[in-house]
Amino acid sequence: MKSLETKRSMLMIQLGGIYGLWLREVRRSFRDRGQLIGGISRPILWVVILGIGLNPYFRGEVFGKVNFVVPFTYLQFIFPAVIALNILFTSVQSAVSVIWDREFGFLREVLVSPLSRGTILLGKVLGGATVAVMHGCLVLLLAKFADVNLTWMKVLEALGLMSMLAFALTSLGVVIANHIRSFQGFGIFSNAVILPLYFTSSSVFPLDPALSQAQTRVVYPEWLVTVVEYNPLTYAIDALRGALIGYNQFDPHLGILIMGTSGVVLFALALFEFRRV
Amino acid sequence: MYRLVGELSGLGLIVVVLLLVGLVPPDTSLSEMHKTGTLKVCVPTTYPPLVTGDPARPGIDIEILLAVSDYIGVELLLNPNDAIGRDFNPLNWDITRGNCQVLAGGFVDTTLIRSFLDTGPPYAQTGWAIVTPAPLKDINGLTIGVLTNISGLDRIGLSKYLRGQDVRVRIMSNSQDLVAGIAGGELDGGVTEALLAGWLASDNDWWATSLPDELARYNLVFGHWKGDLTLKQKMLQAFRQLELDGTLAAILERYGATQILPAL
Repeated sequence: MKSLETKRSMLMIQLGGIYGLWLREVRRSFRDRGQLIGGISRPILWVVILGIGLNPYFRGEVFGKVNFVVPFTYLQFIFPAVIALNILFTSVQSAVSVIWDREFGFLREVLVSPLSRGTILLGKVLGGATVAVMHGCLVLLLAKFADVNLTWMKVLEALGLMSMLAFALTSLGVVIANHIRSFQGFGIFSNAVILPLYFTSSSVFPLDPALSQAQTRVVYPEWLVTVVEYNPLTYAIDALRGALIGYNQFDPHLGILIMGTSGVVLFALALFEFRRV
Repeated sequence: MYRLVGELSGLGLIVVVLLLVGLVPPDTSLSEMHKTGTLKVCVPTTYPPLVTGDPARPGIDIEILLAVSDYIGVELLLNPNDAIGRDFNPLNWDITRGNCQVLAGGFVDTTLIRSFLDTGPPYAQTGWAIVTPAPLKDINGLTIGVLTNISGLDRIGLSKYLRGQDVRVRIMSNSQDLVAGIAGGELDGGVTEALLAGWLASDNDWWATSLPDELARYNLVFGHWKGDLTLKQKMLQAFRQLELDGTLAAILERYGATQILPAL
């Protein structure tokens, strides 16, 4: 009986620890002006400036002539990708708190608490993922501007997908942070990961699903198609497109499967490395 | 508590800024229309009941567009194009951004159409129907005239269906030939778009019947040029108003477009 109570109390401690660490990450993000500015500047630059700037090049000019093979406007096409971009930046940068906590001794204090390493990591990752989802939601505020018609069901579906993506990417950020010893190094390394991941994920140009593999490789260089197809973020953005504008270039289930698997694998990898801290 | 409010204020400010940024016009389509004071629309010369060519009863699309342009405060300028629907390849219709801001007179909301155009709100439904001099139970063994003027309906699906029904098919190029064929007894009936079928049936005291559900039904819409978001949103606003004050329903009722055809 006592053992059961002890177990329950231990569980409560762990849950309380997760909540405490989660809340700390979330509240810290509200104070982090740099991160907030990033959260607003990316949607403005990508949706408003790029969207308006490229609009004349993708708009229709002659009925029957297709310049842009997707049955949507360019703004609608890039909108889900900008959500993913905001999540990508915020998730990976949230993990900078691991370096911060290590530098300023907070991590040492937490590590000597009764919390397990798994609990500490889960609290941090969930906190980072929550902040990333909030930054993704900032982009949703521009839905009307981009002519993306949102319904509650669409928003809920998108939130589920955004949470999965944010969890996987925050875990990736922790994996990166575990290997980096300084803030500067993390910035350079994370940009070296974020931007190539984003640009090679069919985020700004479509792979026309009406074309066969062979035809696609005529339209684009073979190496680019291969990189896009091997990039896991391609399928996450595709799943988000399916949820928000009803357009998929690949099997929509692939996105959920890949994000779920990546989340588990990257968290396990982050935990493995976090145990060695 | 004050601390939490202070922490959340940054996020609140960002939300407000983003909402304000969302009010910026993304293109010049609406302002250009206001500059010229006209809403230019490409329509087929005749496609009843959407476009009739009769000034007294100009057609569903023309009446809706008149109400929309009235709401926006511009003049409706029609650009009739007799190539629309005549040729399978819409490139040959020679419809460009310079000719018109909106395309009307038989555009349906399909992936194919949305590859070329952005689409407005749906205002009626259509599909394939058959018009015959007498009520019909099945079409096996009949000689059928087929008129496929409307852009975007599934012609391949229709062709598969007709092949499976053991009918003799004659392709018609306009509704006058179809009516003449049926009236003269050369054709047992005519397959065409449902609203046109209903119109021909009511004009000639014939019967119109929807083809089975396996052939999809589609929403009738107006076509906008991709990227003309401000004009599209203004027209959407006008549509909502026409729905609210009953104008839209009255127009559809006047042309019998609210009637549901019996299914085959």
